[in-house]
Amino acid sequence: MLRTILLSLALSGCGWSYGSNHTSWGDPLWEPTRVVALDDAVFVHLTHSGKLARVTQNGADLIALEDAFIDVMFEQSLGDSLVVKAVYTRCESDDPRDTRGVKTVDDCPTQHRVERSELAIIGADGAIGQRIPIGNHHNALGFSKDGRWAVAWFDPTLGFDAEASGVVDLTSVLILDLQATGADIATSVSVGFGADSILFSEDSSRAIVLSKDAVVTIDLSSGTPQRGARYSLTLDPDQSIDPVGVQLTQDGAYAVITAAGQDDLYALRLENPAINLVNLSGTPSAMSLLPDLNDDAFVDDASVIVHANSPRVDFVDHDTFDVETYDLDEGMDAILMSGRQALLWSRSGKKDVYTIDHDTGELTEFRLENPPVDVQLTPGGEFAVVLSRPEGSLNSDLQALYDRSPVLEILEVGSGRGRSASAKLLDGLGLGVAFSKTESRLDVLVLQQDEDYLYQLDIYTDQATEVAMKAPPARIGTLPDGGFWITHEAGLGLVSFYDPETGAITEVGGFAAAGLGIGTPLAANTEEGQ
Amino acid sequence: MRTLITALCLGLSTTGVANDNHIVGQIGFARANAAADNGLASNGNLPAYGLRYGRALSDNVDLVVGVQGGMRTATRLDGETSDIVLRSAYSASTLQAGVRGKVALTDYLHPYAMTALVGHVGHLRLDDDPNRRDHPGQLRSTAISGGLTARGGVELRFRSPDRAVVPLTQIELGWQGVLQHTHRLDGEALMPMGYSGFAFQIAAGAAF
Repeated sequence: MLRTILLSLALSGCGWSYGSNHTSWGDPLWEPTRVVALDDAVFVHLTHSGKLARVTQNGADLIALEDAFIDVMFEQSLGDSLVVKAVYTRCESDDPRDTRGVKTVDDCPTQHRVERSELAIIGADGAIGQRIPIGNHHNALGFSKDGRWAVAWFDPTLGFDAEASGVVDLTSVLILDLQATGADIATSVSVGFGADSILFSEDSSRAIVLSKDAVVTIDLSSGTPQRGARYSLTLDPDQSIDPVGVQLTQDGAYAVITAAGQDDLYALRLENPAINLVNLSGTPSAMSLLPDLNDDAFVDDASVIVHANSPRVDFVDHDTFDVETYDLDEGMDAILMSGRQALLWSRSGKKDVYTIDHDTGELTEFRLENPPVDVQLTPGGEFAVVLSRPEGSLNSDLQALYDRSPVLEILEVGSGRGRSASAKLLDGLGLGVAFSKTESRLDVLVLQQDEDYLYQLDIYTDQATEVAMKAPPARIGTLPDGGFWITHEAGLGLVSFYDPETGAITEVGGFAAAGLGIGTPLAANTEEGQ
Repeated sequence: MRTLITALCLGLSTTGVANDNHIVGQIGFARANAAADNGLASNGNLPAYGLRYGRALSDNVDLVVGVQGGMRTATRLDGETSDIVLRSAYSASTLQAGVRGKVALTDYLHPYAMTALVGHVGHLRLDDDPNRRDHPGQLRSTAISGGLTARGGVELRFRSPDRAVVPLTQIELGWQGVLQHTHRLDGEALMPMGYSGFAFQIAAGAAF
C-alpha cells in the first residue's frame, strides 16, 4: 500500500507544482516612451496586440484595424491626426496541408506568410480615415507643412522585420498625395540609394531628398510629383554622405547641407541648379536655422553650426554665404534656438553652455555643475533647464555632492548675466521636463528615472513640491488645457493626467492588456488582401 | 458546492445497505495546453484538488458529484531587459456530476470507470505591480465554460464491507476537456482558454 501511495505521489509530482511561479519572457505590451498627443487624447501603441489605445481622462478606447497588425505608430502628427503603418498577413501554400488549422499569423510557417502594408490616418477622435497601400519595407515617413504630401521611404537605421514581397527598390521614395484618390495617390520617385532626410519647402511646392551620394529635388507644384534636379555631393563612388543637418533657406532658394567629417557646407541653388561650397571652421556636429523673424532687409536667416572637436561656432549667412565665427572654450555638439538667440551645449561630457545673440554679437558663457544630458528652454526663452548626470567623486566637499548626484540646473539665459539661477540634487537621473506658465508662476515638472513622483519647481519663487505617482514616469507632455499627460513604466499600461493648478491626478491603466493571449489574426483572403 | 452538500446530507440520512456512500479528498492535475500557450504554466498542467461524493444507485453504479479548484501563478518578463511586465494568477473551479461504474473483484479491490459533465469557471488576475494594492494595473476577468471527463481507476478499501465506515484510497486517470472560452476585459478579448487532455488524480476518503 505504501508503495502505491509513493508511486502516486511521484507520478503526480511530474504534473503539478502548487506553490511554483512560472516565468516566461516576451515583448512589452506597449511603448510608454512612444506617444502622440492630439487634443485631449494621448495615443499609445500596443506593440503586443498591434492596436492603438486612445487614452483620455475618461478612460481608454482601443483602436484596431480589423485583421491588420499595427506595426508602427509614427510620432510625427499630421495636425489633427496621426499615421500608423498596418501589416496584413495571409498564409498561402500550394499544399493545403501546410495551412491546415492555421488561425493566426503565429500558426503560419514563415515561408508561407504573405504580407502587405498600408498607411492609415487616425483622427484625434480615434476615427479611422484614409488608408493608403505602401511597400512593406517603407518604415520612415515625412509630411509637408500643409499636410497634403507625405513621403515614405526605407530607413535602415530604424530596423526592418517585415517580409519583403516582390522586387524592392531601395533607390526610390514613395510620394503620397493625401488629397488624391485611386491610382494618383502614390508616386514612386527615384532618388538614389539610401534616402536619409526629406525636407519640404514652406509652401509645400518642393521636396528635397538627401540620399547617400546625392540630393534630388521633387517638384510638387503641379500636383503630380516630378523629379527635378539631381546634385551629386561626391565624385568618389566609394564615398557616401552622412548628413549632420539639412535645411532650406527661408526664401526657399537654397538647400544647405552639412555632412559628418567634412568641413564644408553645401549650398544647393534650387532654381538654375548649382552647388556652392562654403568652408567652415571645423567638421560639423550640429546645425540649426537662425530665422529671420521679421523678414526685413537688415538681417538674414543663417545656419548655426557647432563643432565637437573645434571650440568655435559658425554663422553662415543665407544671403551672402559669408561665415562669421565665434571662439568658445569648449567644442559643442547641440544647439537650441530661441528666436534669434542660439544656446549651445554638449552631449559629450563638456560642462560649458553658451548663449549667442548673433545680432549684437553678445556671447555668454555658463558653467554647469555636471555634464548635461538634456537642455530645454522655458516658454519665452527666459531660462534654460538642464538635466545633468553624476560624474563621480571621491571627495567629501560641496562639489563632490554635486558630482555624485544627477542635478537639475536652471540657467538665466534671458538676462545675459551668465549665472545659474538654482541647482537641485535629484533622486534619479532626469528623463524629461515639461513646463506650465501662468502670469505669476513658471513651473517645471521633472521626471526622474525609477522615481515614482514628479518634481514640480516654480522657477520664479524656487518653491518645490513632489507629486506622488503610482509608477515611475517614462515621458511627459502638455495638453491644450495646460494640464500634463505622463506615461509610466507599467507593464499593463498607465497614463496619468495632472492638473498643476488643482493638483488633481487622473490615472488610466490596464489598457495594454488587450489581446494578451490572442494571436495576430490572418488577413481575409479577399481581392483587397492580395 | 451546494449540490455536493445536499447530496452528502441525502446520503447520510439514508439507512440502507452499508457503504452505500463514499466521500474522498482528491489531488491531481488536468492537462491544459492553453495555459502553457498563454504563458500561465510551463508544462501545461493545471493542478486540481477537491472533494467528491458518491452514492450507490445499485451494486455496480454510483452517482458522483465533485468540486475541484486549482491555481497557477506566472510572471512575464521583458525579453530584452528582464523587467517584470506583469504577474498573473489563473484559477479554475470545476463542478463535476456523473456516474461511476464499479466492479468489486474482492472486498478490498474495486476497479471502476466514470464519466461526468464538467462546469468550469476560470478566474484570471493580472497585476503589473503586486507590491501595490490600489492602482489601475490590477485586472480581473472571469469566464465560464463546460466540458466532459472520462476516467478509469482503482479503489482500494482497507476494511471488510461489514464495517460502518471503510477507509479507502483511489488512483484514477483518464481524459478531461473544457470547451474553448475567452476571457474578456471591458468587452475586449484578453485570453482564450479551453483545453483537453490527460487527467490524473489520487484520492483518499471513506465509504460509509
